[in-house]
Amino acid sequence: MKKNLFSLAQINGFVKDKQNIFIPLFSLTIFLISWEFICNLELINPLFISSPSRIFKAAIWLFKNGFLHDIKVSAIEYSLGLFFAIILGIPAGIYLGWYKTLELIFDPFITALYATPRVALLPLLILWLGIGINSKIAVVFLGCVFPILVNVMTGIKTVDSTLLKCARCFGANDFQIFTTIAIPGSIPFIIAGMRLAVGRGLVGVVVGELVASSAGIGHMMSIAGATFQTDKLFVGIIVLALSGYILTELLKFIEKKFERWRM
Amino acid sequence: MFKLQAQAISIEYSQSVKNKFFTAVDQVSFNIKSSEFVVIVGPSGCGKTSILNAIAGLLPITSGKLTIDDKDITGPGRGEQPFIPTCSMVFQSPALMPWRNVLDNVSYGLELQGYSRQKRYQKAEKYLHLVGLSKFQQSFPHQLSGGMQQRVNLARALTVEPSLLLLDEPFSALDALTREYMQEELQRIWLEINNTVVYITHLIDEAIFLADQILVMSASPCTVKDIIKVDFPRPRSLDLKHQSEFNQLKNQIWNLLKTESIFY
Repeated sequence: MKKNLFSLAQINGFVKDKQNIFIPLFSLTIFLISWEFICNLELINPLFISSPSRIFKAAIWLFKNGFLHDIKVSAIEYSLGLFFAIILGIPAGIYLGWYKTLELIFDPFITALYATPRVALLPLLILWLGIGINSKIAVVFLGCVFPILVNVMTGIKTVDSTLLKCARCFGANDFQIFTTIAIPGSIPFIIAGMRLAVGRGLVGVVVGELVASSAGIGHMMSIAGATFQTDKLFVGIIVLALSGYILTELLKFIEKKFERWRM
Repeated sequence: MFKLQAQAISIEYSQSVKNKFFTAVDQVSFNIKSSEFVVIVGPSGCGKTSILNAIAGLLPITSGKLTIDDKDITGPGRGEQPFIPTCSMVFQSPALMPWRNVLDNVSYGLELQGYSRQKRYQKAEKYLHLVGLSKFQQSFPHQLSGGMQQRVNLARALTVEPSLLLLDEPFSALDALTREYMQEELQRIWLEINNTVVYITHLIDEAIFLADQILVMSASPCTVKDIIKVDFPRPRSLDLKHQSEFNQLKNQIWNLLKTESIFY
């Protein structure tokens, strides 16, 4: 009897340990099963809501018929846009945060562009760069660069003034203050900016492809939508949701690495 | 010859409104001998920190003459190569770099002057030992208590081996008990290195306990109200604070200061 109780407690402990995995998994399964049922019983027209099994079939068909190419195109657009945003946004943010005059010069443009929905610039970008990947890279870049730039700028501007005083007291020159205090001090801000940028970039890529494109996930979705192929639409949505999820988790991981930097 | 000499120094700040000038420090004179522990005591906001910043070369004086070793203070860099800091400062907040461990924080001053890693760690270890933090070299600032962070702050200032140590209310953010204990610690450390110290506080008993000489300042603008010599033998113990001579001195300074609070 006693032994039994002990093992019961053990099971209880195990479940509690893993509840962060089990409970979401459970709710997800329930959701998928009911979705399948609603569709099979035709409670709602499958044309609107599709069903997990149909989506799975559509996914297999898509991957056999060149969907990988679409994913590749979107991935290239996204990563190049983000890459340019990072290599331009971080140094620009550092300079603008450090030199007040530079900030004043660029402030009206940054504020205006930061506040404008970047997708509103799409027609113009397509006019300039065509419907190929260049216009998408541009829109991703514009979506990503401002959150990074503005965050880095704030990071540089909010550097602990006593630390600056301390460095000056020790005879530090501007370059030393830059490399030993300003830049490491704004790492958390750089990461915060990247987190925003990751989401914005995804919006840019999809909306860009939906508006006008010759390939990409958004391209596939726009055709599927126009021809009432709900199953394929859902495949696109799931792929996008997954990439967003993976990217966010990746950044969370990087953020954790820098946790000790926080005050 | 005096270590630090101020002759009628004034410090003014320009206020952006209507080009008005605000006088923070007015005609202050004092002489500090080598290896002397001088405490500047005055009400908060009276301009004590401005004097300290001017000594560190971070703030220009408007008029008068301020010299260290009979040389004018031109700026923290002073244009010497290799740069030897004559003074270093301990701040009210620990102002440590959260991304560096204790050892790298303490050796920061030497790093800026281009010392090799080995040399600067050697010195940093020496001063970390002096402040009693040898075991915490690899810790990060957020893992330390407030008192320990202030010790790191102190060790960082000592590591460059300044001939003049400036302390700006270093213990004011600590709890009362830790503060008392740190005063005794500071005395112990100072007796070992025996350099010149300028210490700012608004606590009278802290001033008397630590000082050889107390400059009592008035508020707004900051002027020297009185200079008081403190002759208690060293090392002083915290019990001194309960003796009648100590309290007499405390009353004397309190009478000088009590009308000076800017909110009085």
